[in-house]
Amino acid sequence: MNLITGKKNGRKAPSLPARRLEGSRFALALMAAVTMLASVAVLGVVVGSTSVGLDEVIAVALGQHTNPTATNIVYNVRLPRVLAALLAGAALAQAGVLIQAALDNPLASPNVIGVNAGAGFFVLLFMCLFPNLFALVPVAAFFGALVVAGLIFAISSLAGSSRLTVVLAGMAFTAIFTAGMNTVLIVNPDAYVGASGFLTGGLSGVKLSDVILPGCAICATLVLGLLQGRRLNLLSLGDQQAHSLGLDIRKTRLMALATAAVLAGCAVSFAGLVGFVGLIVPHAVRSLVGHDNRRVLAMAPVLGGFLVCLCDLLARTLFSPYEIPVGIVLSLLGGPFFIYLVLIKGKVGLNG
Amino acid sequence: MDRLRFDNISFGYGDRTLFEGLSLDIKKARITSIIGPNGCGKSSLLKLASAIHKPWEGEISVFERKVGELRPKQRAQLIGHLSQEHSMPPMSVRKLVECGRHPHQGPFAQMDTSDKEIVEEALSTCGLSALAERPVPELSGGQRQRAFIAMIVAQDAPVMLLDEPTSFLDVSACYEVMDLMRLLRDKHGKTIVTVLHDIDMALRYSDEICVMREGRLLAQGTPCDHDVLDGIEAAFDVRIEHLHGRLGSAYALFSQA
Repeated sequence: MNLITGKKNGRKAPSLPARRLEGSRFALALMAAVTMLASVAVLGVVVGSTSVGLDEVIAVALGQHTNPTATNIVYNVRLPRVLAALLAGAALAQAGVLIQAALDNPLASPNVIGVNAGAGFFVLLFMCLFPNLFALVPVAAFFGALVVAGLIFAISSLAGSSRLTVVLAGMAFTAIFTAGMNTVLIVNPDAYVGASGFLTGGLSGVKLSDVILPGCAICATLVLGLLQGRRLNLLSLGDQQAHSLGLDIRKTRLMALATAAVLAGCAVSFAGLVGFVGLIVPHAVRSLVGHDNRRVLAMAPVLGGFLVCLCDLLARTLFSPYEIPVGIVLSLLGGPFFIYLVLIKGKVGLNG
Repeated sequence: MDRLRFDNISFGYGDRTLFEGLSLDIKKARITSIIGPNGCGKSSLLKLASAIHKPWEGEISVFERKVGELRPKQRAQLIGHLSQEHSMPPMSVRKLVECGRHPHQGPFAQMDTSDKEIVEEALSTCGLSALAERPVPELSGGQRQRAFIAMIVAQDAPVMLLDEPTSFLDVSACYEVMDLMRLLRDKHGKTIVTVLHDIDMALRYSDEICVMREGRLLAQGTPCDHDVLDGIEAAFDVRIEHLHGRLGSAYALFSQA
């Protein structure tokens, strides 16, 4: 009913089909992205530097009797690696979206608020104190990421959790923990031996047992992240307006940051310091599906997983038999792409 | 029954005291305008009512319920507040207006049919049906203001606080907004509290005027109340004259000198 005229015909009929079209376009884009993800994942299992061919992989997948080397390589080398790439990419991409939305800051990402530096410092410190316990490096990394997140929550709670406070606190922690990392490396260079793979961010040597526990946590937390889209949309109205609409600003912001910290902590625990995904994927997704966080939060994990999986595939095969860490490929590929987004499309940033 | 009541409020920013023992009753189904010079506490009063700020002392109640004790969504179901400091959200007009339904939705609920109808209604009430799919950052100042007002209309709270709803608007758009307020009052029984800078507009459209200066309530009453007119003259250091012409009446303000 139209409030002014009191007539029943106040509704604009054409707008509804238009919206449905937009919704189906998003569904189509999501399906396309999932298909891309699935194909690159399959490719990741099939292609590799060792001589296990497609026929053997299919045989292993079907449970047919094959030579034990092929089974061994598929289950213990390629599958864990592909899984690790998918999970790390999905987790870091969604963590980036959550942090950017919660802080209303397009430059934020897990590594900017100090999560990566904290994890790195704890790993080095751990290697320094217990040089023989390589196996517990992921635990140290996860613990470090959570400690930084906890410190940032503490500070933002004290200072009223304004978005600038959190970013500044994160930058300070990054500086402090980077200094800590350098100090450990100077005082005890041997620590680097245990931590080098972790620090450059690589997926080689990932075991299925390393991935399962953080993987389950990541899947559960991704769902939790998906549910926060509408509240994060309200945050973009500005704090006061969102508050007057009945949103608990502090709770919303802390919830998003906590979710992001768990995601980033889990990812860092087995993938090492892969930071760039959390920055570029959210922006790329926004230029594809718009700024509605409900959509961005759904699309980002898919594209994040795709990107890391693809980069890992390239990292393994590009200079075969040599292998370069996935973090390096990500930066080499992602960097120019990000600059392309900034320059050509002009769609990066919250005003796009 | 008063819809909104400020009872013996003390409040300020940092060490600076703004209100000391301020009491104010807002009557239901009326348009009440708060006017006064810059910095007299008009916007702060609205922010206290929607619990953006907490009073140092005193109570604010809406429907006999204390605002400070309401949960955020309960409060937002009773009080809508168009803040002066809203940003430029990167979403379409319709999405913005849909945000107004937040207090009526559960934590993970989607928009249901009645929510959608209310959104459409708010869009057409504010003359935005044709602009519904346009991104908010692409709108003109006046259109954007109307979009935010439509969001508050969709919020559908019995008490609406509008902080300078006519800023950025040209004169005819101002009249549209004021007519819209009258409509919300007459058809929906809304209680509307506005902060206005245009005193002539406030006097002609309001049922009730509150004149403030430096955190004190100088006068409260109907626009033709002599206390109110004297209060305005005292608050702004001006002379005020009620002019009658062929098309109606208006208020003119002249400098004291």
